[in-house]
Amino acid sequence: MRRVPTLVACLGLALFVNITLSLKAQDTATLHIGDVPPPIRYSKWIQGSPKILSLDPNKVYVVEFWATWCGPCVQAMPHLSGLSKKYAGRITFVGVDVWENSHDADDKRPQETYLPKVVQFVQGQEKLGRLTYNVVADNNAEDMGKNWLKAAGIEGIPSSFVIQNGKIAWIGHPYYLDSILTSVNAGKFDVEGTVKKINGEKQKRLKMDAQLAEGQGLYKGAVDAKDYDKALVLIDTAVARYPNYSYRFAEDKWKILREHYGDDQVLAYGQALEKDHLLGQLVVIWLYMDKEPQAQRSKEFAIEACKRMDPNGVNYRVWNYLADLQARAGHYSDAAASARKAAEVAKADMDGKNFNGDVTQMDIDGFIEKAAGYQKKADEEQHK
Amino acid sequence: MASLMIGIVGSAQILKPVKWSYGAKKVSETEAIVFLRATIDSGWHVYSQHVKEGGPIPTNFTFDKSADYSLDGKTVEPRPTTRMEKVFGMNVSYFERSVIFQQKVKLKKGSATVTGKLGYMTCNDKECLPPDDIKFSIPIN
Repeated sequence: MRRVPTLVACLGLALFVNITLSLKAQDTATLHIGDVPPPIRYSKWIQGSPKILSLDPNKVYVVEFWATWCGPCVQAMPHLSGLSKKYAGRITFVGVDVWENSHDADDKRPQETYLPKVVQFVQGQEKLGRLTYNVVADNNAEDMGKNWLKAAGIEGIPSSFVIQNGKIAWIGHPYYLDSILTSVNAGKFDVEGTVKKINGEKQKRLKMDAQLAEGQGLYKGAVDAKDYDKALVLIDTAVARYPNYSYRFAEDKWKILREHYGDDQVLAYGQALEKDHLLGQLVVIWLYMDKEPQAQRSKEFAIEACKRMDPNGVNYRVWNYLADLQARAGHYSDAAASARKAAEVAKADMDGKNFNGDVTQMDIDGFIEKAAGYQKKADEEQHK
Repeated sequence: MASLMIGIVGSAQILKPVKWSYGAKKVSETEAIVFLRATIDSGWHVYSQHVKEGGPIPTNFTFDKSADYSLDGKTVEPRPTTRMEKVFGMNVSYFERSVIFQQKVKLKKGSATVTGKLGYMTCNDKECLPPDDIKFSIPIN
């Protein structure tokens, strides 16, 4: 059910976003707290001494990832310099320049071609006293960017790794290093507790994924065997057993009804689902996205359900979709009015003080154009 | 215009504060405007095409050469927000919430598909995501 995110993008209803976020949480990281860190490799040791050739398991390190284009990284440098002074002789800081080039372009320039820029940048910051700890730059193989950051599932920088007893003790934003290093330095940092907490969250997530798979597994056999009557009954069992995924199961049920049963059954199911606010929104989306011929009463139901989605008429997207649904049902005059309303509400959003940038003049022009198109059709109908 | 902004494009990243979508509009038989829109999550920035060297990486567009169309001028952008970024010691121009870049094209036949790639990076006050390249393919009918 990879459709929900696309639909969310279409309708942009805040409600849906929460759901998709929880579904996306998938652990692809191969490097975790408690693991032995990958070897430290670099194309150039830019400043500091002594040079580090490999991480000493008896020492504590902060390995800090940054790039010249990253404002928040540069902003964190004086703070990190202060910490490196505070813990001089006890904790070794290494700044690692990474990702100077585009992340995944086919034709990107090798990392080391940026070395002159990086060196110049480091020297400039060092002169200002803002960057006083060791600094290295990643190599063409991007060993640091790949084996550390990417492996740990980290997408943003700055990011810091704390290495203690030859293992990764902590990964996070350098902003939090103060308190972490205080306990690390006092020998009181609880790596096992941190790992336990992270694993607990991971287990919970895996359990949720397993529930979904189990639920869908209940009726998959019946669907494959084209025994749809049985599949529908089993879908209801899945809903009862794993209510958290009821909307996922509901979409499967909707599809089966749509493809193998009549409009009456589809409509009855839609009406039943609409009693639940969220499922009601999904029903409207399904009806909207469904480009197959629909019975007139299904079209009328979609219109009414769409109106109930936004009873106060404050969402320009809903007005826009309503316009299309009305046009599809042949109510061109209503459709024109709804499209005009979409333009009006969108304009008010844009002019409002809480404007969040999700609508542009181009959208508004689009709604106005749509309204004109539907109005033209309405006029033509009248002259028939 | 109704179906202007279909096709939300994304890559494999999980953290996705910026979504790109595309559209095109014919303004005459031989001219069209291509729209490239970034929808930006609250708190995140996408940078102007005109950020000087030594700061964030500017948003950039590369259009493929084609027998069906030619570019008419440069890619234009709305007026960005500009602020003095102390960490870079220079003015940095950026967009918040949403921005539409526009490129005029001259058509050599009735329809064409404008292809190319765009590069951009994004930051909020706390962190940055690395520069990313995205390929686009925008039909003009």
